Amino acid sequence: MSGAGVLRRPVLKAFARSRQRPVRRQIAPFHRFRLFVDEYLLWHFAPTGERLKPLRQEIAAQTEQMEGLGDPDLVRLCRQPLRAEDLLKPGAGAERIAAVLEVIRRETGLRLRANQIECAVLLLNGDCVELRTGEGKTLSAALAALAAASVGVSTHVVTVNDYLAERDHDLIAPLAARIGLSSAVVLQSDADADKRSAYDCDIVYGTNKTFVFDHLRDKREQHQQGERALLRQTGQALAIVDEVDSVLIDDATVPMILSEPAELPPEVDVVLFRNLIAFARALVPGQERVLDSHGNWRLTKAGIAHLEEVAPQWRHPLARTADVIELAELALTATFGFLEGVAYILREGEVVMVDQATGRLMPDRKWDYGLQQMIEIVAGVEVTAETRTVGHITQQTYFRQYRILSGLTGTAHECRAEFWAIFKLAVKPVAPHAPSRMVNHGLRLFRRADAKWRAVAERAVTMAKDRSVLIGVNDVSETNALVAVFQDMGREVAVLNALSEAQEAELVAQAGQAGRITIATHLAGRGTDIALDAEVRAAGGLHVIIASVMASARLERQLHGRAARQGDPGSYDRMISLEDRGLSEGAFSLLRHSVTWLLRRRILPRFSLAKIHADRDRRARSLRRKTLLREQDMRRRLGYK
Amino acid sequence: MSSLRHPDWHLLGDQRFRRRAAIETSHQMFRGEAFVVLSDRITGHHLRLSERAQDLWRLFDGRLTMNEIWDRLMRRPAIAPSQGELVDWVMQLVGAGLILSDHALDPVLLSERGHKRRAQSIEQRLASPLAIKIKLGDPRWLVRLSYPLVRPLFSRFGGVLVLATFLLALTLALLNWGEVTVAADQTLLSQSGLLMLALAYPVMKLLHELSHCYALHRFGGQVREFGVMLLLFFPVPYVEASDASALPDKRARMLVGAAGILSEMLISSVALILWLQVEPGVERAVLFNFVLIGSVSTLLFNGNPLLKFDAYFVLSDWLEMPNLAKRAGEYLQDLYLSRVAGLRPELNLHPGEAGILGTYGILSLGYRLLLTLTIAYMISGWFFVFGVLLAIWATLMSMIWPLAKLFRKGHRMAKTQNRTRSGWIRQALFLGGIGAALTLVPLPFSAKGQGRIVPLPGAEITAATSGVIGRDLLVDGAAAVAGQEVTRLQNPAQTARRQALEINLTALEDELSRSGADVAQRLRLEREREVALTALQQASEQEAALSIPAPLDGRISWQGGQPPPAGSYVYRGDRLGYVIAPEALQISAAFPAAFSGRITAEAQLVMLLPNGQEIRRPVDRARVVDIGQQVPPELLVSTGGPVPEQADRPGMALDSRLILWAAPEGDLSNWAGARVEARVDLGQASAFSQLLFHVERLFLRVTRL
Repeated sequence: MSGAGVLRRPVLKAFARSRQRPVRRQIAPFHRFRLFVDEYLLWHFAPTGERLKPLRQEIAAQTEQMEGLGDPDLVRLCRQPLRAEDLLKPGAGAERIAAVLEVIRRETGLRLRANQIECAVLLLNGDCVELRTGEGKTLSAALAALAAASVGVSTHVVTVNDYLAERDHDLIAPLAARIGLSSAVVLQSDADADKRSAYDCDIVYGTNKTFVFDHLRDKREQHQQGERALLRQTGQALAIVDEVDSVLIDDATVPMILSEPAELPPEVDVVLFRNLIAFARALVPGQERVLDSHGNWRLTKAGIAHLEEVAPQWRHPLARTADVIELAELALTATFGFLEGVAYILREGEVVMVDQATGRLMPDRKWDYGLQQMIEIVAGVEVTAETRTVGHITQQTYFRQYRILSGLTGTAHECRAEFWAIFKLAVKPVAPHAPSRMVNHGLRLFRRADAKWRAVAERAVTMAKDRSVLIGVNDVSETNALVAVFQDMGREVAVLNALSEAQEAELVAQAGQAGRITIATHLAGRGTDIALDAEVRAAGGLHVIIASVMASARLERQLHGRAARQGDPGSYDRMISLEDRGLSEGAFSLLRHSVTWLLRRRILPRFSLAKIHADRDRRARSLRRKTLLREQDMRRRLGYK
Repeated sequence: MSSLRHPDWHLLGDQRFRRRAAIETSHQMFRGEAFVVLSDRITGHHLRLSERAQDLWRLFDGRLTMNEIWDRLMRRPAIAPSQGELVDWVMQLVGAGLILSDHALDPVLLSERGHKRRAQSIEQRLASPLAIKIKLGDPRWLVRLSYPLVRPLFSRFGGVLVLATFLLALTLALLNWGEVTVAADQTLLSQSGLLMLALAYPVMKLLHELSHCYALHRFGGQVREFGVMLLLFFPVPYVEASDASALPDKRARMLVGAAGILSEMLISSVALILWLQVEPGVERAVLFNFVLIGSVSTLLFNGNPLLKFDAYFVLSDWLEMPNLAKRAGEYLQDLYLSRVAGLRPELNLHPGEAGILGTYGILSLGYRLLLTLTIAYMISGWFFVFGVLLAIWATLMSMIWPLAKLFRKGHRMAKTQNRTRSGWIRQALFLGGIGAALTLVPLPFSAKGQGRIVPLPGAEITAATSGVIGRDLLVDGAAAVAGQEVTRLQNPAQTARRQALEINLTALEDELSRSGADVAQRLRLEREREVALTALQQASEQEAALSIPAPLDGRISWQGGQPPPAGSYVYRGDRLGYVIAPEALQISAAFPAAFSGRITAEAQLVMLLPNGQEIRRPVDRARVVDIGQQVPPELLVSTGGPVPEQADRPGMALDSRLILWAAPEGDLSNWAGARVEARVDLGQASAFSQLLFHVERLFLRVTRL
């Protein structure tokens, strides 16, 4: 509660390899309201990076001297013992970082720019670095990871996909080997023994999901086997999270669930499900069941009265509670809402879910316990067992466990408050080495979606005469709509859809060729640089069209941030239609609905769009906060591991 | 996730819980339902388990995992709990430390749990700054040592004895009622009495708390904590007697709860009996203080079940409804949400409970609101800024916050029941209706003040000249006719002066009538005669003024109720009395100046005469007297009116007032000089605007200070 507590930061301490002491950065329960204060006020007073200025100056000075050193001396300098907390002090710490810089220069021939060094220092300090895309974040992260590992801190470098983890690790592996550090990449698909040996390395690369799931499995095994369990991870000391906004904001509340199939569905529940289905079928439509505004079947008052009559005879604990109403509505959904051939198909006596957005089959996924079983009863196939949740964590909870958490991204500006409130991550913008040459061509508003797609296609074709064009959309259905328009025009486009990450990255990397049009979602090929052809650069660089209403301004920035990198020229424009899903979807909010109303009348379109984004962000933020508090609350009340 | 599975079940699923040692169980019946109460001998905490949860309690043997327990319970699905209920029970038991897991304790989380408990208690204190508990110690040794002294009282014979004492004291009090009330007035109205009261109070309260301990001791329980609670910053001792909730017999629980009241009543009964026998002196005064505290504090506080003091617990034990107040609150909430917002009710009540909960809930809610507002109002009268802050805080915590919680809960419920829109519409209609009634329905609006019925200035009997009062005075109340002499002053010097002037005039005229004077001399004499004539005329007038006539027809009302004693000297201008005549009376009344803006031309002044008769007259004229301005003398406190005057400037107003005058109708001469309650009708205004006006008035006063 005290003011001093706000600014107290953990310093880097050499207890990195501890299995026993994962330090939790949890919110003290008394300060539930602290979150609000942090989010709305205190983040303005987050410590600045001024403290590190002498260190950076000294690193610059030391770098000169290192060039004359022989290789063995340099390696010795990198290996000599140093207390981890001294790494950020001018003196020995500067010498160490300069030595690592020199190793990088000799191995790769690249001399890191001042802003990259600043970025690495901030990462070691446990900050969130905001650096424009294309400024060499990968190498900065490598520098920070090598420096931290060289003083004995186990370092996890977190990326958003396996392809990037492997690519970045390939860059760092020779460097680490040269200093005598071990490094590895952990993939989701690796065998357990491989994972254990990989986690024992000084520097570990992997995706967020890999780290979280391995943690969940470790905990599960620890519970089951106690002391005999052979854990994978060695604790959580320092995490350098690449694309930190994607991990800690976009995917923060996505629950990571470790589940095991149970033997058989309990007979009691199955009997209840059959009763519920029979009840649902017996209801009079319109009188006892109606469709609500969201298109879900609901019981009317008469329906509830009917249920109250029938339910007490069912032998189930929920039959006498109000929860049975919710279950009955679930049964309505299973019976009348989800239709065979639309929501699912039957294959070999099994229900297979169909993704509503893409129309693809999803054989591995199941609905929640209850709904899945009722659908199976309706479809007349054998009732499957539930998959029991045995471990559950969200990414934000996992990453809060790290003693020092630092992040890298091009778009953190919008989430400064949240990063500080929840993760105590101060967002530090680092200036790019060259000024931006981005041109904004403005916003165009269309009434109908098909008119918009046509306009987008024409615009893309016009711009692609001597430049290259990237079109950003939200999801697969929008991609398909746009691709159809291009097909009508007989124009070849590259589509990033249902491809592996490596293929995506390859396509994105080629997107800089002249005359090329690429359609991508904001996530596709993240972390990949779009290299421009010389002629394209001369003609004005990459042009980005944001062709739909995105969920947040941050996502738009991520998209148009792909243009005008590293001092290149570039431009973008936004084209949206009033029929975009981003405008019509979402729970009711007075602000959003009123500004959408303005937008529909073409009043202050830019302002309205910004407000819609802000409102969505606010909602998502409060959801994340609630999830976090709830998740921690239960654990805290229980008190057992 | 549906309610079939609790989302956090995975945290519990593979844990094996076992019952901790040193936990005692006792069986109790509440409204025909069996409960088991678990009492932790170490922490002194108690937990009540329903019949269904008892099955679960028996299964916590440290061998079964929660998953196995769940499977076993589900073998009897008709009476099994839902997973949500199960998790709730387990969390309660874990939270109370009654069951232990085979899993390792997480020290971080455990320390946070302690932290949270502390934080909660701090939050609680912040939430109710008017009731702060300070823990002082463990009274067990004292109770153990001194219990033999009171043991006889906890027997059948002791009970009869106590009852007999009550009856005797009650009879004596009724027989000596007059004496008792006089003594009570003396104690409450004198400073020394109040001081002694303050000294006797802690003794009485300590005995009160001790008797709770004794009663609990009698039935086998123990009190582990005593301390002081700051109720409204006034220290009141308390004991932590939650052990009583483990007593199986409800009569025993009731006796523990009532022990304090009974002991106070016993002490005051004995004190009353002694007080009637003892000779006056210090001892007698002290005894009476005990009588007073024992009876008054019992009746006002401890004996009132609407506050959470002793009688509340006795009542809830008697009704077999623990947590009566909380449940009553929940019931009212549920009632509002189901009846007004049209949501599905959440509570399942046993037959007969609804009536009790509803009645108790409404009564206690009303009483608490009234008490809070009264206390806040009183404090704001004493220390303004602090009091207003306190009042705002109390209103926030006791009214706004619960309402906000209610609406939030309603919104959540409506959302899950898909009745958000209809719920809000219904609530909006309901609240809108109440709001409209408050803001639109006009209610009579009036200002209260005090006034007097006084004679008009023209009815005064005044001494027009100085003199000595003569003998033949009319008696007070005697009828007089206008011009009739009511008294005659004697002023020999005046008479002598007139006679001297007459002689002088005669001498001058005599001199003028003679011949032989020259012109200049004659002129001087004539001038002298003129002067003498004028002087004589004045002297004659003054002498004539020695006879004081009645100014009007009416009855004489002497100043002070009787005629001035003969031979007393009055100065010119002294007021001797009035002639009371029905047509020569006026009504004047003083009101707070804030009402001045609301007086309309047809405003009516209503006076309540001491005999209960109401007279209603149109206002003749009105005037605002500001601070420091002169107040009509008949309204000053010093003359028997309602308006206080400044100490150093008599006759000047201490605060600003609105003065109204009205002419009487009919014969009010019987009430001349009387001070009466006055009210002025200000037309009609809605309840809301009246409230707004009074709040504005409150703050207007401050800004002027």
